[in-house]
Amino acid sequence: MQSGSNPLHRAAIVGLGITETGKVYGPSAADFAAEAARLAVADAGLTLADVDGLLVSSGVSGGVDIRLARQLGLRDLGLLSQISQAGSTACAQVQIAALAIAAGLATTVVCVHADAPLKPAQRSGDAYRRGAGPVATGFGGLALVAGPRNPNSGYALAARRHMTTYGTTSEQLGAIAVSQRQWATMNPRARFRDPITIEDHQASRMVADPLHLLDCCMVSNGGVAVVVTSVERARELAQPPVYVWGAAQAHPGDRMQRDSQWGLVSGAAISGPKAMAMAGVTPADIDVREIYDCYTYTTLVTLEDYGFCPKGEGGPLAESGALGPGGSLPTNTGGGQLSSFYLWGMTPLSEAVIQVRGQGGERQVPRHDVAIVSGNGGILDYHSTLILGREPR
Amino acid sequence: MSDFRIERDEASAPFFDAAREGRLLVRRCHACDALYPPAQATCPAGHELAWVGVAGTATLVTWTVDQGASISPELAAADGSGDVLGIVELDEGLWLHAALPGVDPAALKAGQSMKVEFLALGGGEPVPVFVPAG
Repeated sequence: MQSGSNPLHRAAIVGLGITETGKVYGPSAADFAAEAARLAVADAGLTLADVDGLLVSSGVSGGVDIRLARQLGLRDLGLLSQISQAGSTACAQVQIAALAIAAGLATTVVCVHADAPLKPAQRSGDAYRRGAGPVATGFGGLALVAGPRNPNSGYALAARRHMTTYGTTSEQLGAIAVSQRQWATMNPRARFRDPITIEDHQASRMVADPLHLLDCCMVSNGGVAVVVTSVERARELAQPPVYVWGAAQAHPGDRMQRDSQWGLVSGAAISGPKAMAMAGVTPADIDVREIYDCYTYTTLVTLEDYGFCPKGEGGPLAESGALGPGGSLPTNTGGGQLSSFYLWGMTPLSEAVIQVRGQGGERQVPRHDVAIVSGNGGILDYHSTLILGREPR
Repeated sequence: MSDFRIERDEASAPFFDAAREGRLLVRRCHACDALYPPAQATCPAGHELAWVGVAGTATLVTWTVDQGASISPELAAADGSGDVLGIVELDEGLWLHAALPGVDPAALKAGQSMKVEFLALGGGEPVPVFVPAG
């Protein structure tokens, strides 16, 4: 593709704001969103008066919506919307911001996601668990009995299918958790920073067999925002611009019937190649992988679908150590949602911005010209991909 | 322990009438001839779906042992480790999510033959569940 021929190539990420994350009680989700937006704008060397577009995303706690514009005192916005695509929202927010900028609807767009599902006297897992009363009605009752009753068992069904089809093992999934924890030991922001072993993974309690506790992401309170602007404006701002090279979405809508690839192949298999074609790159050109990792299995299936290894070989790839520090395919370099913090698609996106800028400190990967970022939502229902570069495309 | 039970509503009444007779109903589109799960009322093209009986025999696609809170003790695995939840492929081709009560999760194999049974959890409407056939 010719340089500059795609409208998406006219945008760059110029600001990043991350609030305190984790078991942070007190601020509402909207408060976290406002703080993240302010941090991102300041990081870019801008003020809120420069912002003329706002795309908000709310997590499971709700409470982040277009009223955030008023909370921030934003005026004369040319773009304002709530994007609701579950885990694939963040990449989609950047994609839509870039399109709006290319179309002249706005010049400087804040994309923000925040959530506050954790409460002081509640187990983290309860934030995503559907409660069952004593009486259920009709088909809703059937669904409750049949499952999956929460994301844990939904992803467990997918992971099991990969295991029985390709011979993937729990230890191989564990290798993903171990690699990501190795990265997290070098990330001051990560919640879990003590190294773990495959034995620790195997000994961690079973959540939804075959998924152990250490296969599952945490739940976090907090907010993350990025600022997207035109490539022209990006050059004049405070941070090294992170250019948008490619952006795609794919939501497969699998029919659940004979010959379905559900659980084995995700929307990443469409979204990834599309975004890479837009960027003019192949998997071999990509230096950093920031992959949505609600579960270890999500990382594995996404890496396969993006073409970093043949289908079915994600297990051996993880086992080889390639994904960890010093490996050939650095992946989830901040520890990801498994070890760092869980703010949906903003977890991988924020780490990609840090790495492409070269601001990863101890965990900075040596080559950081091109990064791929994934977003994944539902039970492998929704997918989005960004390709980001250190130079304009 | 749980006294979980299911009550019918108007939309699910035909399904539970058949279930009480030990028959599993799914939905079929006359126009597209495709099968859909019981809860689906229209096909993606907008056609009304009709109830159709299926044999109740299937193969196992995948499964998990959900260690989260069980909604009924009658759904527990043989070893009590949790509720076994799976996806089965009906012989007619449609996939269904289903509980697999009383099974030994360690003995399950992808592709193994399964058959429907009905469990009136807590004395409520009978729910289709799948167990190993033969």
